[in-house]
Amino acid sequence: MKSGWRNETVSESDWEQWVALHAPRLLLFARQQARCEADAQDLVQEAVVESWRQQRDGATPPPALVYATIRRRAIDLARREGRRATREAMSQLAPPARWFEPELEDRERGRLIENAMSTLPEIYREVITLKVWGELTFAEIAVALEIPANTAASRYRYGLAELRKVTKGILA
Amino acid sequence: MNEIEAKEFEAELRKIKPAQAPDPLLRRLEGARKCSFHPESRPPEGSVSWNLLLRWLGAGTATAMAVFFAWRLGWKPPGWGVRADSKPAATLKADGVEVDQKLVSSFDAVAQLPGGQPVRFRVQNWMDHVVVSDKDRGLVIDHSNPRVEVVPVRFETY
Repeated sequence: MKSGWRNETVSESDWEQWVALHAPRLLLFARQQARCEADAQDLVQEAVVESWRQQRDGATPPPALVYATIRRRAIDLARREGRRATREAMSQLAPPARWFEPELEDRERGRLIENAMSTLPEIYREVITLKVWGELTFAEIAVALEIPANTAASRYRYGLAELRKVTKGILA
Repeated sequence: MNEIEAKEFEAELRKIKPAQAPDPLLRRLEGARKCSFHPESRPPEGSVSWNLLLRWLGAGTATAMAVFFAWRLGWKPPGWGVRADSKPAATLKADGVEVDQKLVSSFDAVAQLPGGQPVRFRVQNWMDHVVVSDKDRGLVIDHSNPRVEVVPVRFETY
């Protein structure tokens, strides 16, 4: 598969697998960065395409790069005042999308975790999301959030402890 | 929270899966891939792009031809061959200067402000005339310039 240019590009099935694995994770992160579902989905699509174009060999982009791009684009989006007004108007119309899989047995737990995560400061929430559900290393989180790896690790530990306090009784 | 507790808590959190991406987004990602990436249009790394080479070759040939014809025709760009420290041509030494101005015409015009108040203007047409001569060189510069002067005049002082 890696012998030449044409062969190095991902096949259709490879791409579908990559999307199936990473799209929910990326969308979870994007939903925390954006203020409405439509913006979150736009962020994911734009970030995936942008990150992919940067790959010279046509391979799937590294997740850390896609997360970093989502975050950068979300910041750009928030700076655009016109878009913000539209987004707020839309967020009032559309019901907020659930962050976690609404399986019957986990539905209540997922909702409580989502609520608990919402109470965390963003700097902790984004590190926890990338580590737990994005499955990134601290080095990758450091790249995605443009912070030192040690800071990422300390924020994770502190955020995890705070989340545990809030969710005491819900999780072990 | 110690290390073991943190690991257990992390494992508990991981059991809760992120919500699936909606189908429209998955379709958009599929569509974006097909539209945005064309491996055939990208050359292999390290190989020569003939299209790019031909484009540069064409541009280079056109430039060389233009330079060649300009050289053959003796054209020189402005400032070509002029040294920065070279002295300008000798300046004019005028031994006679005449300045004159003639009033050609004068009239008053009355207008009305938006509030209805009248306002009067005095319009004067002048002809300025300058003659500069340099007898040593046998040079005479004779220049005339018309000039219009409009002055508002208050009714009280008129």
